[in-house]
Amino acid sequence: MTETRVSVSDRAYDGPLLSVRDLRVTFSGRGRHDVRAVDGVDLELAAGSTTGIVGESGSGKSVSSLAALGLLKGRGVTVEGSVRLNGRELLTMPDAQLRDIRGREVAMIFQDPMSALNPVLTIGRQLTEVLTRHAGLDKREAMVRAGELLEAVGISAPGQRLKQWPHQLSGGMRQRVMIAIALACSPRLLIADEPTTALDVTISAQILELLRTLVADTGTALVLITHDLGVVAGLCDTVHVMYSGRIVESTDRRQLFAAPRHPYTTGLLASVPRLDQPRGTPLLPIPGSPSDTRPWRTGCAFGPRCSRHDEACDGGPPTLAEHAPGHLARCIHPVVPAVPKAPAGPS
Amino acid sequence: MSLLEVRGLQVHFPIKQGILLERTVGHVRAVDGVDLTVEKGRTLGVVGESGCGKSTLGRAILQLEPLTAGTVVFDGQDLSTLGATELRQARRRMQMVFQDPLASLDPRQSVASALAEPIRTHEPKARDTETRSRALLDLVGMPANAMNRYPHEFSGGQRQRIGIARAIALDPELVIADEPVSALDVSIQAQVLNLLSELQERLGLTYVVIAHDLAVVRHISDDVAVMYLGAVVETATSEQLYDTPLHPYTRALLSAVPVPDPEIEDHRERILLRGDLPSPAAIPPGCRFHTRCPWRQETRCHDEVPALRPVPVTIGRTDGPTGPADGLTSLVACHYAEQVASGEITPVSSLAT
Repeated sequence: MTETRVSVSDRAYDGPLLSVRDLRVTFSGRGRHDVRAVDGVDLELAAGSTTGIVGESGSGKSVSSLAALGLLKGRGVTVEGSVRLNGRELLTMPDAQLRDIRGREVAMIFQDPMSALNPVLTIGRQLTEVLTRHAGLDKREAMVRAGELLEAVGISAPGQRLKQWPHQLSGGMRQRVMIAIALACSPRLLIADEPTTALDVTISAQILELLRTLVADTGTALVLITHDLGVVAGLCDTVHVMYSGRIVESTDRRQLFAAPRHPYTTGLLASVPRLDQPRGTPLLPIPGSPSDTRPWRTGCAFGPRCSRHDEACDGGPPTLAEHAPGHLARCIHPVVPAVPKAPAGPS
Repeated sequence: MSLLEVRGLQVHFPIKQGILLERTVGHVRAVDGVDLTVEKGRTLGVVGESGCGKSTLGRAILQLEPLTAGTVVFDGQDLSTLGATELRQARRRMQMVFQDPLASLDPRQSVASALAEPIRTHEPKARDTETRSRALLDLVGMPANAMNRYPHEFSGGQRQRIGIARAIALDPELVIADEPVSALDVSIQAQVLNLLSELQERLGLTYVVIAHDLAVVRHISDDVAVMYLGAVVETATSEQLYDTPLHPYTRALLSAVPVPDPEIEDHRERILLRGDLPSPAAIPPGCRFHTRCPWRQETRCHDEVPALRPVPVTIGRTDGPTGPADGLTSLVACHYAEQVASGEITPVSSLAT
């Protein structure tokens, strides 16, 4: 069994590490209307790159990643489209094979490490499980390796921690354990879903720093799912902004923050108080709430909350068009970027 | 005279052990000696990480937690000396807004009934309850047809508006808001923050806003108190605290907040604190922050409790003693605040990067 596994993943392949095409996820409404949580998402990810997916609750950012890894199967959920990892289609892959890929080639960490860790198993047991299952180590080797992994994620006295249960660790420590488990088999891709949202500011800074160095050292590609634009700004090469199940803006992080094009992105940036702006800068909220949306096929889903909305927006779904080299936005009235600031000189 | 004065406030919770004969084996010192002053019409922001005692402080001010020691003087009245009836009278003037409006509103109570409840309780003879409720809804920017609906029919932002309407139903003077926006979506937070500022202006409210989000606190507060393990470690005007943080913990906190600007993110100096917050049941002796402080010194830090004392802000500033900050001070609980600010003491590199 081991041999067949190796032959598949070692086949020469030079396309993108992850390629998502027209991913659609529909939750069955059980007789009432169905909910389309993800409505045609396209994504491409190069090996070793870092990508941010930004959106509010209900934007489909988490559902996309769960669906892509086959974690939503058979729960009244229909997943359509294509998700290719290293050229292999994941959506149609048999479960047994998918389980080999999850944990070994793709790993995931979640917002709340307490519910992601098994409360009745020791940290050591949960860490070695991955190692014996996927890396083919025996129990003793796995224990040694588990200790090394804990050390790599900055946990002191790893020998002692291995014997403890999740409830004995703090939130930040648990998230470190989750990261250690995720990185145990040196996956090619790590998906982090709101990894710091449940943590305090100083602990969150530690975890982000840890992710930053681990990604740089191991060459693992990272997909960071978050609602916090600040987190993305410091960590991700490419950023996708999602709204109501679709990507509304995609570009590299410098471009996104310097010249955002989609009114939703500019709205988000203007509505959060920021420490890098003078105190007293007025907050310009986005009117309405994320639930004030409509199906994309009838027009722009952000239309009901948008200040640039007019009749043309109601004519049908806007396309994700290139407004500047490498800068995509799904809007027919994109924000025109302000003239770049002239280099500082005597004024 | 200031509207609210908190002196030496302590709230300790006993840790009990044993089944039949419960023995007290220790105390969680949730709030451990806090002094605060809030002037009428101003907003005090209380910021800190989870477990620092900021919520307990808010509840203790409203006498919702028994005080272990200290006094809360509201408008010249020491609240702890009041009897039950007098306290009820005083409570009309101090109200609270909670974090999660879905949890703090009764799911089976219509909005009309939720708004009428405080009015009926305190003014049983009031005949204009309905008109007043409608006016309240209007004040918080909700449509009048919300009256006969229930909490689950609203979005998070709207529910928080209802929570706020309920808090201001009796024309209070002081409103304590505990994490008023942290349960809301990013695009909604600004709506609620703006509403709070608007109401303050229109009704002359005094706020104590408790939050963990440093940017939110800076935006809404005139004055800020930074809490760590049950005590205030630094307090100053918002402007001053964020421009010139003097306590090592404040500096670390501020440096940990990511900002949505890649240029700044790439070149920012980050002070990473090692480890986790110690348990409030075992507060470190000496300076409570010394176990995580990158500027910790061999002497005093581990065995001498630093007092909250005025430290001139000019020390930490480049505009020098003749600049606009001349003469201003922040209250800082650090033995070495001056030396840390002037750069005379540098952070230990193994603790900070």
